[in-house]
Amino acid sequence: MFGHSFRHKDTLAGIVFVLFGTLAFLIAQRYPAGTLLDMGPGYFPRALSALLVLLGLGIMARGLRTGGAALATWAFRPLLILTLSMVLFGLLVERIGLVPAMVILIFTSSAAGREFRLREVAVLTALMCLFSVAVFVWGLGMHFPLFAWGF
Amino acid sequence: MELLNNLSLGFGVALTLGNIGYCFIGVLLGTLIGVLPGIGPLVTISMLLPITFGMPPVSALIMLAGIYYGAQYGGSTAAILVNLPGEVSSSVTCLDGYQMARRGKAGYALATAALASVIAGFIGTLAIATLAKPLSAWAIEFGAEDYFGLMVMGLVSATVLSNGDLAKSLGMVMFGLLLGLIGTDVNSGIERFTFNVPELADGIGFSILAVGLFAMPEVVSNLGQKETREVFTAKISGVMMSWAEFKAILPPSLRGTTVGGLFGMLPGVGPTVSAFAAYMVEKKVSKDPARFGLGAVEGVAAPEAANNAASQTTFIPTLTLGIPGSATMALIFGALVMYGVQPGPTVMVRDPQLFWGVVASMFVGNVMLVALNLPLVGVWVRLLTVPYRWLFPCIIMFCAFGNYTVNSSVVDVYVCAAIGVLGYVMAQLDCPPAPMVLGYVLGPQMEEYMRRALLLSGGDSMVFLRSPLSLFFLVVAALLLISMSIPAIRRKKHIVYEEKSEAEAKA
Amino acid sequence: MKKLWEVCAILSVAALCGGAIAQDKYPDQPIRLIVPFPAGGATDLVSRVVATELGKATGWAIAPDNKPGSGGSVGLSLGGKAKADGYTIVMAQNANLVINPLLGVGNYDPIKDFEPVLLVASSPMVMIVAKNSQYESVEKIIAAAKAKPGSVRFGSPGIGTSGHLAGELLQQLSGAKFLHVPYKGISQALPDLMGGRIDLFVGSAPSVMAQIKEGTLHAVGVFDKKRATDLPDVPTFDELGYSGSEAITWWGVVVPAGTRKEIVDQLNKEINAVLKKQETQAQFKNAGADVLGSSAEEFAGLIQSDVPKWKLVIERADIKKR
Repeated sequence: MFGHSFRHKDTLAGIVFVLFGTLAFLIAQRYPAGTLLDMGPGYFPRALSALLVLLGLGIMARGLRTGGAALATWAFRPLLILTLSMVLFGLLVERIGLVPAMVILIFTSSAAGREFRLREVAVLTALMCLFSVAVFVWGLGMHFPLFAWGF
Repeated sequence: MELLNNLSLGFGVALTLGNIGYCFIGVLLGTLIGVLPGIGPLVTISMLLPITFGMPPVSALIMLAGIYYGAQYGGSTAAILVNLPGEVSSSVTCLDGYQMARRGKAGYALATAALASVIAGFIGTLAIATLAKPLSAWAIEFGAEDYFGLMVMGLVSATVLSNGDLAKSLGMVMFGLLLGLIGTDVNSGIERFTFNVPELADGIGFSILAVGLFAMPEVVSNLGQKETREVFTAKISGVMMSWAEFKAILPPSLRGTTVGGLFGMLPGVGPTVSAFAAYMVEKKVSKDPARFGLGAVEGVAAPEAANNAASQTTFIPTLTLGIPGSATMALIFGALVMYGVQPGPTVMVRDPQLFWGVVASMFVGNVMLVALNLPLVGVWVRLLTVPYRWLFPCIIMFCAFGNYTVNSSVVDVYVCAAIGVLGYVMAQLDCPPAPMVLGYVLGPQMEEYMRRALLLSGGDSMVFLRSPLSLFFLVVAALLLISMSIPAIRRKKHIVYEEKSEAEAKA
Repeated sequence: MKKLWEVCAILSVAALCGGAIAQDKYPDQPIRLIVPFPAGGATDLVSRVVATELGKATGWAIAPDNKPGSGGSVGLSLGGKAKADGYTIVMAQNANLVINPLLGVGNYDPIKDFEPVLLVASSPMVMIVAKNSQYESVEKIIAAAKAKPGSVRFGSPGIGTSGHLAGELLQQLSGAKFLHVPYKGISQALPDLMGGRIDLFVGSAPSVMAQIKEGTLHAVGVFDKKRATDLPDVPTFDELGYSGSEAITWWGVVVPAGTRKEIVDQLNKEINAVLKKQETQAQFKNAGADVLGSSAEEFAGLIQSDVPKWKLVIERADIKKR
């Protein structure tokens, strides 16, 4: 019965708010709160996170009581692939250079779609690489190593 | 007279060859990307923000404004032809615009949207030009406590009027306020919530948050759905409307402009509510309300005009009070701060070139919109058929590379990816991202004003109730919250939003 | 159609490869100039003028790179840790190079981690009040603050900035006590100043010059030994009897410690030459800053003498370390 409620949007949203609120409240203990006259850096975060926890509890209670809307299906595959491809880009860009990192980024993220047509992705990759290098590196004069090898 | 002087100063700035170029690029890029399915103005602006950072502030802002209304307009094209609104605000256009397209009047619908937008754009820009100065002068009277009250009211009205659950929207506002506190505290210099990551010492970058919150989740959920689109690619005719047709759309456009212009000035209201309100007004004044939802041209003209007028007048609170009225404005506000321009009552005095240059460029941009959109409608239609599998890798590339370019920092890319996951989870739980962005932008400011109000009042917390302005704002905020807890009013709000989904279901 | 796209793709690959070929000899690649403040501010302006003019004069590629954050210490931290190869140079300001480390902000040492190249420009701090303020002179301000400590509200562009410390310096020299109200910058303080919610503000000359000339603000004193050229009628605090009250903010180029002497000399020579050009001087003057130019040794001497001076002010004012 209880476990069932956790599949509802309200309950879960409430839990997320309570979790983040509690986390923020605990961290904010490290900052001095000060007084009303001379508020320290801890005052506002504490007040705010306490409010967020209360609100989260309210939303959670509502979800447990009335059920609320059920969760939609999660698009786990694209979420995972896209997130990983961004992280991969971050890991590679300063090690192997902008262009290779971007090629890998576009190839991996393309894999998140339902279809993967090698030819199309290759053409797309080449065009996007040229576009970004032309705009950011040649146009706006930012300098990133285009190719590198520095693991 | 002074107005003319100011406008001529503005046109002097806006009509330099470079700035015309930036305005053109902005409008073109905005329309181009706004037309592409599944990418609205918010995503467009958040993706293109990094490109503007290398430019002089005036040019950057002119280009951003161009992207903003270009994307807004491109979104309507998509709404009419594919029934796929780019942003919530153009979802009203779907109601009758798509029906007109199905009845073979796509050209008339597109032309109506363009002309109504331009009429509204002109009047809205004039409103900015005339009202901004007195409002700025008045804003000098605002003390720290009044700003605090105004921000509370803005945040509350944004949540109350947003298309989402009140409690969850409020939760997102607070979440956003907390996210905004990440970084070095202005007053004490202490780093808060940075987890000893040096890159977070300056807070989460604005474009990182925006891209993570809007672009990433949108791509993920689009990929999770089936791609079903019906595009009217058949030759679109009737773009040049007759005099009789023009006369039919003029009154609703003017009514829409009035509604939108007024609503847009209120902080926290923005284009979406304006478009809905204008549609409602049109239905009320119409002799034959039954036609609405079945391809009534007024149902395109009024919301399009309202949406555009509001887009223009939301610049007023953003630029003069420093309080962005909508999520999109919050993006532009964030960008301004990054360019080193602090929006607020003094922006007109300190940066008259910037202020009036942008105002004048809006005129120029509106003309360009018509010039671009009507003759090029065929090109935009072709764009609608671009498959999503070509688009989304480019969006992701912009998310990753675009954010990397801002600070040449890979940490930013990781933070963006993390926020993307968070944004997707929150979207799955029906928690709207827009209030979060508003909260994020206003968080540090709210804290600063609260502290300063208390510092200057000698620690007396009653200062917020003693200042008449602050009291007024707080009372309005409280009334809004209370009214939403009254079931009858809440139901009414739902009816307005449901009408839209019903009409979509009919289609 | 499809063919066309593929031809485009092949051409782009070719272009990318061609663009990546490099040459040698210093500078054989673009020089990154770290600007520790966001675009649009005074530091940004100073940096961009130098970068543009230096590029024009020498043909070098100089890329200003804004790295703002916590009063400039984010950019300085990055610069201090960068490779000492002459391809990363930093536009430092006294507030971030000298004062921030004293406050425990930023993990760098102004003397050990950087090699000074030259002083670029400076500008004095100015005390301003609203046009029709009751405090039209420094005497009145000090008298009021002494009569009722904490009644005079003093705005600054933030804790640890030159403006804040100049105000603290004056309080120490005069024995008066203000209520310090920190802002993010002048643009936020201006409405409060004009609306009478704070009584005075201390900021760098370029940040307030426009309003002073316009007449909305009134300058009451300059934190310098000599009067400012653009404000000939405004007395210095020295003249008013507070000797030792100079608070001048300066900008200077530094490179990471360990950069080769030839490179430092070359940079010093070229930038000094650029600062002598009429165009450069006009742009600085327009912004209200004085062009300096110096030898590397003079700059090093200034940094060394600034450290104990501000340390003393900070200790006396009891500004807490983080």
